[in-house]
Amino acid sequence: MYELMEKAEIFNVHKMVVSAPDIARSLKPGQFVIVMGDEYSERIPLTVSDWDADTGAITLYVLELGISTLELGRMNVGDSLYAVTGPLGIPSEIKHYGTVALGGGCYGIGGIYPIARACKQAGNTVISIIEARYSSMFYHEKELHAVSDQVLHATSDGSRGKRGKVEDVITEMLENGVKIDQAFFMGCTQMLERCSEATRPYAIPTKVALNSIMLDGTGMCGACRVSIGGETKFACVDGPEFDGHKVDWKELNQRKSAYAEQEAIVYQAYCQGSEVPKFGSA
Amino acid sequence: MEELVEKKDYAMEEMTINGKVVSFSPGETILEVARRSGIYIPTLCARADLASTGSCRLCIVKVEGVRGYVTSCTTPATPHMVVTTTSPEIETLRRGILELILSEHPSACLVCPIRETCEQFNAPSSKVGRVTGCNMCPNRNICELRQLVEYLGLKEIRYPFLYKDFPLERDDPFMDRDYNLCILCGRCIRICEENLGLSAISFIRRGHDTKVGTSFEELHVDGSCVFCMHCVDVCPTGALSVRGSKWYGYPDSETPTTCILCERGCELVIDTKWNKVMGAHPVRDMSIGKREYCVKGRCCLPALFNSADRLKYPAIRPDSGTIIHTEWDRAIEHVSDIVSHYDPREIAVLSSSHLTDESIYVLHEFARVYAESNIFYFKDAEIVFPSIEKSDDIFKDIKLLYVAEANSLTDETLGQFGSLEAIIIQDNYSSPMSSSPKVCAILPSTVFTEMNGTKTCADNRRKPVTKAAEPPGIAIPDWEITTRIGKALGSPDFRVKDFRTIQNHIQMHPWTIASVPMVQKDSLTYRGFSISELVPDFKVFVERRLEVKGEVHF
Repeated sequence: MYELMEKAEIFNVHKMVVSAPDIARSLKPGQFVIVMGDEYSERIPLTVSDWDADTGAITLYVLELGISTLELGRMNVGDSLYAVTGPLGIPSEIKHYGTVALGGGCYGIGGIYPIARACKQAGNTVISIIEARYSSMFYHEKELHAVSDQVLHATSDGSRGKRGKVEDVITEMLENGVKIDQAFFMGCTQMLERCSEATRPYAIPTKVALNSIMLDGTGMCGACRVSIGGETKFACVDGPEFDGHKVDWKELNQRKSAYAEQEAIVYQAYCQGSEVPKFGSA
Repeated sequence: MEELVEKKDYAMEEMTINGKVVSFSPGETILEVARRSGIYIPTLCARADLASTGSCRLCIVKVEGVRGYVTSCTTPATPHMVVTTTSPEIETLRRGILELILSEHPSACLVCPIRETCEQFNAPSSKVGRVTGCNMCPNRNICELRQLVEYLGLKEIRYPFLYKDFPLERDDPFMDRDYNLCILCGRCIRICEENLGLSAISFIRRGHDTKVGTSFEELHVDGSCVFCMHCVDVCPTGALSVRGSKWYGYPDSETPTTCILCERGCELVIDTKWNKVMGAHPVRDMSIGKREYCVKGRCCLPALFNSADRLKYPAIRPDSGTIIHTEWDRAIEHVSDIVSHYDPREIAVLSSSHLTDESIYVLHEFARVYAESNIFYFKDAEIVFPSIEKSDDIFKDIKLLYVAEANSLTDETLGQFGSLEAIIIQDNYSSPMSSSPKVCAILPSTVFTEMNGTKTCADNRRKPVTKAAEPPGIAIPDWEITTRIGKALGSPDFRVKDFRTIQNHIQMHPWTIASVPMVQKDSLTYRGFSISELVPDFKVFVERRLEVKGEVHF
């Protein structure tokens, strides 16, 4: 069950193609799954980047960011994940907007792909903007090109496309009078916040996929709660997509670092590749 | 003595650096003279405690009458030399050199305008495996590359970035290595060779593939590496990191203290964050001769002291019921009640060599007043009596044991106690012994990073132990527990205000501490517990060492 069919690493981002036929049949763009590497693993919410209902394969891009994802990264083709739950979350709202701009960084480069594909199918003009530190860190590009009218790059060192970040590309486009009817962003909180600020002056409807700390993914625990326009929402069942102009970013950043202490202490007693307790107590 | 006289014979010579006349003794390099005179010259590979190789080229200076520029770290000072360490031309050259170095080091963040906010909010990024920028780097707060970028005002790197794409090396215990960050300064190799005489690592491969590694690229644990982590201490980048100490960011405080895991008593700086021990390292500005760190003190302390097995709250067994947690006052009352039921001849104290001097002294006082000096230790699983008048003959009459090292008590040892009725445990960790029905109280005590005091070490010096972290739960120092019990029993000898009062007593009775057996440097235990059980990486280290070399030394 949930066998790993394909695996590759692109600078900390692990591409994992997992066999999950039931999930692949019912996935919609913007939804996510919760994965457990083994029976002691954390539950890790992951955006699904691609799926094939015929072969039953789902593609995940996993950013290595802690012990649970480190262990996912150490798995090999043929290994099985302990559990994959999904699809979870509300699918992206796909309709004919006109021109849609999608911004992705980090795991979001793979994450925006299904939304781009659906937007394209709905007859939109799709502009995909992806960012990375160096040109060699881009991935999933061929697929993204196939569903986008235009793919723009931003790199921190200027080695490809514009030097800077997604928001710099967006700002430049808007200043040059490009009309954007809807924007989707996926990536780290920093990037989401900056991109939302870039579209705010132009009042462009902006959806951001939030990645708050999540536990059960079904609205029971409330760990993933975020403040949207002063209202408490659960990223798992009310999201993960929210209006980027209404998110309380400060609170989100604080909540995301709530367990920094426990995370650091776990690594003190962690031993790579050997049988040790997975969790230390704080 | 001869050496001193010889040195004196040399007159101090004079030279000029940046228009300032400075004196030097023959043999000193320009860099050494400049540093001593308070003149800054940027370097990446040179260190005061290492022989210079001139590999980074950043320390170039202009010497009047010499064509081109010379590296100040390898050029000896000569009389009447006129040196200029900085000029627009030199700075331009240095920037060019730094740009070349950075073209092979993930450096986009170094010149990124939003770096500061990114690092502030993206702190958890340091948990990634592969570092591709500063916000992910465990070393970012003490990175010398970054300091240089700021010093030279580098705003742009003109060369395309080459990622070397070396695999991450994370299979060794205690150490994560990412040679994609390495700038090949060779400090790690030099410190291993010059100061430790080990040469566990060297430059391997050639040309663009050059990297630091072991012979045949075997794991460090299989080679001659002793995991002293001096290579990590001198690395100017984040290529090398101590695994347990890389995810917490920047410490809230750094506290110098003494490691008392063995008799050597090395000076150690404890990094504290969230009131917990997050790392331990030598004094940053270390000098030759102080390098004696072993893997136990350097790498094991965070995992050892933040262990989930630490005792947090006092527990007592009232009237043969089940063990319950309680507060200190009630626990002390309960314990003193039990002690008062027995005759001093029926009580024995098991002390621990891992305690601070104050705690040991108070335990001896307790034994003297309430247990007819029936006090013993475990040294390498052997029972040792500090007093020559005592031997295991006393065990047959013992009914109550007050132990500070519960895990050392084996069934075999307990078998020697013919009529044992009750055990009082005072320890750091819960042990299998805690579940024995004879245990009537479990008192949680602090480890040495959570208390103040002193420790007498093998060189007969009493060294300071300083509190760096908060204890788990409501644990208190061993000496405090013992004095509170002693006081509750009514003896005036235990009216101490703080650990300093006890130090005065120790000075008056120095033989008490002198009679205590010391912890051997090759010891694999801490207070009766196997360090391997508490620190998984240590287990890997010890097992591999035994397998490959048949022995473990520190």
